[in-house]
Amino acid sequence: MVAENRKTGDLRELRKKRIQFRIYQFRKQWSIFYRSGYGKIGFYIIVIFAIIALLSPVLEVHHDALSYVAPSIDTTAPTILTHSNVGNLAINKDMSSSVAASTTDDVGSNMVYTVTSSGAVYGISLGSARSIPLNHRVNLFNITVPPGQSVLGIRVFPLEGISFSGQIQMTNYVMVATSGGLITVAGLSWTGGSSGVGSLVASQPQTYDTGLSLASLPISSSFPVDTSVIPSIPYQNSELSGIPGDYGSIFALGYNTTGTYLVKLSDEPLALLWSEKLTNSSAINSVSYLGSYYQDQSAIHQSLIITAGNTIQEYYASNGTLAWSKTMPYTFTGQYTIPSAYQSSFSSYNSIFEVMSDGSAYYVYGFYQANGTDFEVFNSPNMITTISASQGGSGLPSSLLVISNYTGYVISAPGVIAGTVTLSSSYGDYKSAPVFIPSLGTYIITSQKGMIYSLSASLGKNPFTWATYYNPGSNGNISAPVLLLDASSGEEAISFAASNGNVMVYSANGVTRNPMPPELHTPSGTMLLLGTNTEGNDVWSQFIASFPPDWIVGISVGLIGIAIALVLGMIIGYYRGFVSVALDTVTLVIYLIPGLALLIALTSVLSPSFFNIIWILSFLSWPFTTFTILGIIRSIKQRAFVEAAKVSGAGTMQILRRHMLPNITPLLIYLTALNVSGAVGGIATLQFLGVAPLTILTWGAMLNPLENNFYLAASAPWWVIPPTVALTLFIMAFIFLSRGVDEVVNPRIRRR
Amino acid sequence: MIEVQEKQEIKKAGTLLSVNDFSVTFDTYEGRLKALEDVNLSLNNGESLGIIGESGSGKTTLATAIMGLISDNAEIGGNIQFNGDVIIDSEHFGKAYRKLKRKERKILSEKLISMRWKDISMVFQGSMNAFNPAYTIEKQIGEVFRIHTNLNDKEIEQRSIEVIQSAGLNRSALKAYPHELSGGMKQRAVIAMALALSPKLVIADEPTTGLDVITQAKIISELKRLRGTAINSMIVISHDVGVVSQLADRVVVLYSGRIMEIGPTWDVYKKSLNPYTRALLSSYPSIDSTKSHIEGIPGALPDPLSERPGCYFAPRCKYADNLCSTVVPELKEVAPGRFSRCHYSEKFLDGEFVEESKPHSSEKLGYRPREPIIKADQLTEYFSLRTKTYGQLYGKEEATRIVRAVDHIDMEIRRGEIFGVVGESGSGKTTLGRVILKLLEPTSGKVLFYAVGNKLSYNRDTDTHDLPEPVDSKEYMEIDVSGVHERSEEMKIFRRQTQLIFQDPYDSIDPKQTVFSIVEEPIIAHRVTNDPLKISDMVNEVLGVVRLNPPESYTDRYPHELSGGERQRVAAARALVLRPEFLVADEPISMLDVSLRAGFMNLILDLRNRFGITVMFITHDLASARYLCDRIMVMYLGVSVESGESEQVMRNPLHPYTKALIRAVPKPNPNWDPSRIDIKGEIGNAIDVPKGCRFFRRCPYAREICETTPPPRKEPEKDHWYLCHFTQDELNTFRSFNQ
Repeated sequence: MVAENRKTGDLRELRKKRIQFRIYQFRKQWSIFYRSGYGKIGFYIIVIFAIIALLSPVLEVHHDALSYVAPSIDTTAPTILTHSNVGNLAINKDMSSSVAASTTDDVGSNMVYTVTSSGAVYGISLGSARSIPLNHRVNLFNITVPPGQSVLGIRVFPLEGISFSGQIQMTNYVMVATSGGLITVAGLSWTGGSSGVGSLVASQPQTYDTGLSLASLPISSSFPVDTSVIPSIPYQNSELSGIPGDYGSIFALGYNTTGTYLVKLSDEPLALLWSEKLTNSSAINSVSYLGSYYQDQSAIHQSLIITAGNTIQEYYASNGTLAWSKTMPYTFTGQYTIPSAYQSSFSSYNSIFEVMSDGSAYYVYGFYQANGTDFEVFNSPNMITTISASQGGSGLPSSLLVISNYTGYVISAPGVIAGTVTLSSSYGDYKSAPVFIPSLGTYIITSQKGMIYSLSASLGKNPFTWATYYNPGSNGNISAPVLLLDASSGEEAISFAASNGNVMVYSANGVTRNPMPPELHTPSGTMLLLGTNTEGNDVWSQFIASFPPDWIVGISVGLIGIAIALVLGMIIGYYRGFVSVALDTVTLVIYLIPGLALLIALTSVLSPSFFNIIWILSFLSWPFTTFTILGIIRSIKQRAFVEAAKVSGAGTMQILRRHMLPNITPLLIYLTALNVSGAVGGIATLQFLGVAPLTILTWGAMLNPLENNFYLAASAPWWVIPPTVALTLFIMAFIFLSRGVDEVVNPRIRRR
Repeated sequence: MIEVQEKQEIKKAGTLLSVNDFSVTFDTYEGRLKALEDVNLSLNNGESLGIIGESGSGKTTLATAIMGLISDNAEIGGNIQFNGDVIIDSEHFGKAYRKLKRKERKILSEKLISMRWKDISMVFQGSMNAFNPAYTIEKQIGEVFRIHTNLNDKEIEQRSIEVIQSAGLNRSALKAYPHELSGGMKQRAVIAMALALSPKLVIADEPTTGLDVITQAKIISELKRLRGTAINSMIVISHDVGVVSQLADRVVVLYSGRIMEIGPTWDVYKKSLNPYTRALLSSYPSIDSTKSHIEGIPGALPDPLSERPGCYFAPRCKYADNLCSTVVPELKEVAPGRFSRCHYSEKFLDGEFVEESKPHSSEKLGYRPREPIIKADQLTEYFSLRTKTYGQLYGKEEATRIVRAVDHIDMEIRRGEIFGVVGESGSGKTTLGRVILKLLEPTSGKVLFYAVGNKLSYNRDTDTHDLPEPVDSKEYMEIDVSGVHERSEEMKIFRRQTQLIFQDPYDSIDPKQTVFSIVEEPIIAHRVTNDPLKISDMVNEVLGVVRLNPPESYTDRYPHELSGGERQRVAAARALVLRPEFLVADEPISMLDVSLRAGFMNLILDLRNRFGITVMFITHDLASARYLCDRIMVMYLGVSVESGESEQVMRNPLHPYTKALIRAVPKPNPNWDPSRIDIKGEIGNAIDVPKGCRFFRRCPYAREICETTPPPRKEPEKDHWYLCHFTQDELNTFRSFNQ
């Protein structure tokens, strides 16, 4: 009994020693492996890949990586047509009028105008018929900004009509004003006469000192204050068209120590027509011109609407007398909009839409021009930051856009909201006046910090059409957009200025940007860490989701291949006889068939499911491995220790198990590693060629579109590089691993 | 011109080569390996220097350093000068070399290139690989001239012929490809190549290793002859004392990178002043004298990677004391021209330390002829050179060439004896061993094995692994080994009672297994027991038997952690773990270092004496055969030409081949004259064997009858026969007639 106990104790001791010895051996070999540079690199890459594969459900942003398509809000954007840097721009506080766009008049047409804070006036060409090259900048004239004053902004409007072969040919005027009441107007003319020759110059800049501190940039009757008018339909004010040299007027609102004055100036020469002291001089926040041109010369159809505090007043534009005055229960906030159709013809329902507030709620009201009758259109508990209208028609304009609390409301009738859009709140408020693009039926709005949205005015559908972001620099602002016609494409475009000095011209049309470069903060709020591919799929999610399938394919093919090869290699290598020769021949035949061709043939014959592909790749991987193994087996068979084992009475199985297997184990690891990399490369090849289904998400599948269009590699590196690098690293890591194993096994290649 | 000649004259009298404080350290993956330490040497013009050392002693490193061919990962100290020019020194080597400018490097390497072969040439170790198999010898010798001289093609041809003839080869050898030459001819061609540019110094690195005894003797005599003519100065490197003693004037003994002794050759042999040299010299069994115990050197060569204080030989030295293991002895000039690195050199000089010879251990037991354990009856093994498929496709019967590796051999090995099988390589001795163990199926003939016991199956539980005691009479069971199937019960008994020890300990044990699992293999294969404790006990016990002590420290080691001697002991342990009755030892000591050989031979003797194991000892080394064996069989081309008790055969060889073989063994004796060996040519192959006597073509006494008629067996003494047409008297007459 005691002896028995001693025996079991000894046995346990013996086994413990064995296990300790195994651990010791493993540690020793590990240290050699680790010391070899290749092994270490390979090991770490593999560990990283394994961790990514395990964490892939967490790491991938969109779990349906295969079918997920980034929303069009993220992938649709206008193209940048041109841009120009003009240095310090005179961007006033509300960014309403830093740029101005010209009409289609051939003199000075297709230009964007801007004024810098130092008073330099520039025209930036959009490619004119008069051959000013695209993006060419012309310094038209400079004004002197007296000390203590600032430039308020720039406006462009036609003031004179010249009859030319039955049409009215327009001549553009540029007006800039300073806060101290200096108003400068200059006509634009082309020296040299015909196209292709000469240059654009500003003729006869005239300056008039009103002696008032201007509250805002003066307006012209010739050009509606509402910037949503299309330049291609210029509005010539015909108020006094019978008087030669007085086709348009300029209205300015300013104040001095004695009170607030509304001033009207004639343009040619620039001179005062009348000056009217306003009765409610406090808290004036907007002045607008509302009226039609040549059709109806009735004085009451051209008027100025002034809101101040909770009163709204209409003055006749002809003589400055008050038409009507109304006191509302709410305070006017200054935002208003006039549908452009109301500017071109007179109807009884011509109206202006104003925003008001009582501190707890905000309202949009319409006021008839004729008599000041008001009607509520919209109300919201949140602040209404800006408002815009489409062209108009009978009654309400076809739609109104109201932005409130980062939401855009498209209103079809009083109290009827046809559609809403949530806008990004990360880029400042949407305060500047939107522009309406008549041919597309869209509104384009900008936020202070550079977010630009295009919203459809068409009723009954999601108003969102596109969004983009322009970075005006840190703490930079961008101005309100202006509408212009792109001469080269014939399409409408918008232009805005940014406080970094750039004047940007964007197409009004959004286009799909796929493949899209990486964006951390997309308009929709998701992350596109590696952008999108041509289909709009999230590359990052696909990339991460490809890790597990590649591992599964690699490891399973590696192991299946090695298992087949081990069995066959041992049979062919160790035994002699018919079976061995037959297997040898079969292996050789399979080995000699061109791998890729066989791969493609097998894939097309079998249904290319995930497991079939694993089997096919395994089927191709074993012949080479078998030959390597059987060669080693044959050479080991020649070694004396195998003979010694035979002399010792060992049977075949014992020799195979005790002598062959341990001696080829490192080789097996080596070959498995090679097989793994071969399998991953194999499935990548199949999917790249489009033979294997692309529903198996691997790096090869990601690269499949490249087969038809190699240009993608250059145009969308964020999409092409990650799977390529991952594939290379993965294959390389296993080859490095096998190299490290080789160093453990083969002391001869160990080097210091 | 005259000045240059004078300068050379002056130098001729003086030192040709001097090695000053030279040391080499290799930076290897395992650590820093000190290959050479503080080597100081000088070689006078016209002198021949021998370097003796075991493997790992640094002798080849020294030779390559003299050629300036040391590999990059070495760090060197000191310098080597040839004729006053520095060949290699620490300032122009390794890291320092890499720092040199490109131009300086070029100059240095050009200097070395011009010096190599023109001034110093080398006969490389392993003549088998010295030639490129794709070119003729002429092309390869001609290349030497083409690179180093400006001779035109005709002159080169002329010189090549001169050179090859001076090395004792026929000029037709020039047109041959290397594989068409025998080993000896190839070695001569290598020597011819080394002598091509009449260098001042020839380094012969193991010039005869890998050659058969007779060829070795011929090469030695060739080199001796050339010493007088073509060779000016020579360095001979060898582990074989006999070779060096015949070729060198002075001898340098290296041990683990340190010079142990320098002195005139015969003085060192007669009375060495260094314990290592003495131990080394006494490790060689003598072919001349009667059996006396040789001790060998206990332990193994020190690990060159580890830090070892004191004298490197101290752990193995029987005279060593505390001083030796702590203080490194200086290389002192003890007597004029005699240097020794030992604290007690003077005591050797005074004769205070004297080796005493012990009686041979087998003398104690005595040799008792007993009943046979193995009987071979007309045992034959032919190999066909053509495969079956090939023969069937192109099948002409005469085209199938047959190698007669073992040809109708009758022999009998008796229980308890050590039976030696002696012969040159190619004589079929290894094949014989394998046929007897049925690793090869014999073509014809029979092998009978007399197994101990008459049980056909072993009972795992009741049978012990204890050896049967060597008793005179016991029940034996005759097994016709050649007739039974591999899987039969008889075969299992045969396999269990027989074992084999291989020549190459580096090949015969599985590098992927620990010593434990190597040794336990037969236990598992024969399903003796599956109790791990019992297996562990058996393994430990047998490791103790082969003197791997303590066994626990060896069980978990892998073969690469063992020295060659230890490996061979592990192989022996595997062979012995089941206590076999019969052991075939196939050249077990030929791959071992000299100092370890004696130990292994003593182990075999001990096994026989203790356990009564019968050993078939296959060797080409006659001296060790004489030392070990009770009876000897001499084989030549598959036929046994002589057999008898070993002392009888050695003292009184009967067959002309045996006579030549014994005479060819190089002896540390100035009177040994290898040129007087009565034999022609080299051992051929066993394909085109003569109809009559196998030895006919090389026999100096051959007559017509020898060519046509197979010789009869003559047995002039009891149990001592030979295969010849002529009696000893007739042979003696022929001999005096020849002279």
